[in-house]
Amino acid sequence: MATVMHVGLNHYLVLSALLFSIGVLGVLLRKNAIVILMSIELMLNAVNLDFVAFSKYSGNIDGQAMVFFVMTIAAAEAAVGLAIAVAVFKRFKEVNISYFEKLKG
Amino acid sequence: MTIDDILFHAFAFVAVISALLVIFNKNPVYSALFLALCMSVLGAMFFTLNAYFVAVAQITVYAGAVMVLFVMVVMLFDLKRESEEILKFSPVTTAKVLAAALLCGFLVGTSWLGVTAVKDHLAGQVAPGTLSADLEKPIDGKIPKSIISLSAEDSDESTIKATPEEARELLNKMGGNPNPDEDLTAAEDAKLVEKATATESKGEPIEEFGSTVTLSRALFSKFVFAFEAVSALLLVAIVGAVALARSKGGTHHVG
Repeated sequence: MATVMHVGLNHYLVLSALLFSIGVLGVLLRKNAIVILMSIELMLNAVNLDFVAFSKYSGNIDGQAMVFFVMTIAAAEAAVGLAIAVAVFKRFKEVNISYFEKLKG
Repeated sequence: MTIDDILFHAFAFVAVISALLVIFNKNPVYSALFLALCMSVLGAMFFTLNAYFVAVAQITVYAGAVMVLFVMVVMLFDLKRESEEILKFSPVTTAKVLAAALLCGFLVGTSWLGVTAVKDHLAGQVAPGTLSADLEKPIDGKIPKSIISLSAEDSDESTIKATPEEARELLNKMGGNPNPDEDLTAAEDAKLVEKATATESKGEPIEEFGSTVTLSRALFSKFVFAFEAVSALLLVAIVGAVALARSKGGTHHVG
């Protein structure tokens, strides 16, 4: 029990794995496009936690630089994804993911 | 159990519970708020991991800007009519949950067992910059510049290790060794090297690991191309979002 409670690198990896799996479950289960985007953000955050934990435990700063890039790309992805969601809502009055296939032009 | 352990377990508990509430909440506004909570808790966890800049960026960019974007779009929609059953019992739902559980099991198993295996394997043979042998013990606070420095060329050799000749010369200059011609044994040489290295590096403070200085040094030298590429990507994202909004059927459609 003592070794399980004493926090090491594997604790952070396990937490990150849990968060990533919850994100995957959200993408699979939900139909609402906005909640799917939120689940993707959750998965990206889990990866960020991995990067920072590895950076700390290996003494290499590169992991934190990667987190910086992941954050930037996540913000860009959220902006474009939400713009598409708004377009879908204007057309179909719902943000169900199954309407995305009807988009064109 | 130290305070760090208690903090980790508390943060982890809140993060997992709020992440579950994000996906199992019918109201997307509540989902967004729980996602903000999850991200703030992860930001606090980054603080405990000595990633100060990343923690502040997490709170301002994720829990601030991105969440405002989500909440604004959710408020824009009429969500009252949405009555989606999230966990209705069907073979497809069961398969989805099983797939996610299987992925979770794989990830948890490999990360827990993998770290233990690496720890056993690396015990004894550790080079700077690789995973430390004792993964239970993080490289904390002040770390030598040799680990932070980006490449062999960039690192200032003299602060890492002075040769015995240089060390002797330096100490002679400072009047540290009263008999410069005296023959020194290897042990004394090593001691001198240590002393010279310590005195020479005293002038410039060793940067703390995870400080903004070390992170920005890496960002603007080693990752400068990626940094510029990301700025181009942001420009493309802005143009794309504006084009989507102004296109036929978008929110700002013009004639």
